[in-house]
Amino acid sequence: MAEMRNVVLARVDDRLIHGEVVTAWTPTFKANKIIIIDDEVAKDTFNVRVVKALAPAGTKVIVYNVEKAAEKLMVQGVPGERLLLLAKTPTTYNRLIKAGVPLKEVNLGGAGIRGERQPFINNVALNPEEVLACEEMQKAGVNVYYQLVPEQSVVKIDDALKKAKDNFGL
Amino acid sequence: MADSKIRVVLVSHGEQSKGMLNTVQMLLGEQTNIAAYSLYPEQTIDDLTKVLREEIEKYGAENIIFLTELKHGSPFNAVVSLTRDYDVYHVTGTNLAMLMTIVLERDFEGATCEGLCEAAINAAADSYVDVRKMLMDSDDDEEDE
Repeated sequence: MAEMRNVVLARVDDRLIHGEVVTAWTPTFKANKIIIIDDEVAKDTFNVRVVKALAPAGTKVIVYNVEKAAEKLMVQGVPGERLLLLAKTPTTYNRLIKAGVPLKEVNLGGAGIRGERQPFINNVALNPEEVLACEEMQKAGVNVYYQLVPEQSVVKIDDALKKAKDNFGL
Repeated sequence: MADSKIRVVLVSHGEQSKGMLNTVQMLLGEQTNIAAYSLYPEQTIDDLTKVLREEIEKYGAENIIFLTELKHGSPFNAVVSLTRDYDVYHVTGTNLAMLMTIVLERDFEGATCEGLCEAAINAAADSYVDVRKMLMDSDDDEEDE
């Protein structure tokens, strides 16, 4: 089994570091490092500077592109390290998993309607590529679930997945 | 009275900004050169960012203090995104003491956005008190005498 650092949560949230992540998820999981995985954000020096400077209290923020993230995650972790991963789309996690990162769960948290995206579950909207990415991850044994905040119960995505595939004719 | 040179722009999730504006006018009288914007569930951050950008284009970043209510909230993120193109004065954690301080002191001679931001932070720091605890601590002081 491939080695991986201690990931306490892998979340899809296109707002990245945002109210729910800061006030709810980070303390609940006692995360001390937030890794943003996004090819575009990683290229944007202004954005990288801002997210690092505004790191929530008690955390350090790092931004990697997918390739770099796969490389940096698949090593033995440092004791006490608790990583919260953030990506704007489930496609990113599917790419990481295909690159060998052994993630067990992916939390769908927030994805706004834009482009080809259609409503999936509550505040998560997905485009066809993202729907297929969720399906691929499920098939690979990764638990993909919807949960906005830790206080809410976990919502299985199976029904939504079926509907979305029908809707998009996939 | 002439309009204040320094503009205050309140931004919040929902109605908080408008409520703040309403309350500060109740306490300090009608104000000019102050605006309140809200982000509603049906809006995107881009919609909000667009109107805030228009504020800056119209009044100049150097003449505006933005107040947002929650660090890392969407209104906060919208204002932060504008720092890519402008040198933005932005204080987050809006409360009434802070807003009153800015509104009162912006008309002082020699008032600057930078100075007002500092005054706002100081006012806010003074305004957060666990009153029960403060009262108990003050009781302790008396016993010490």
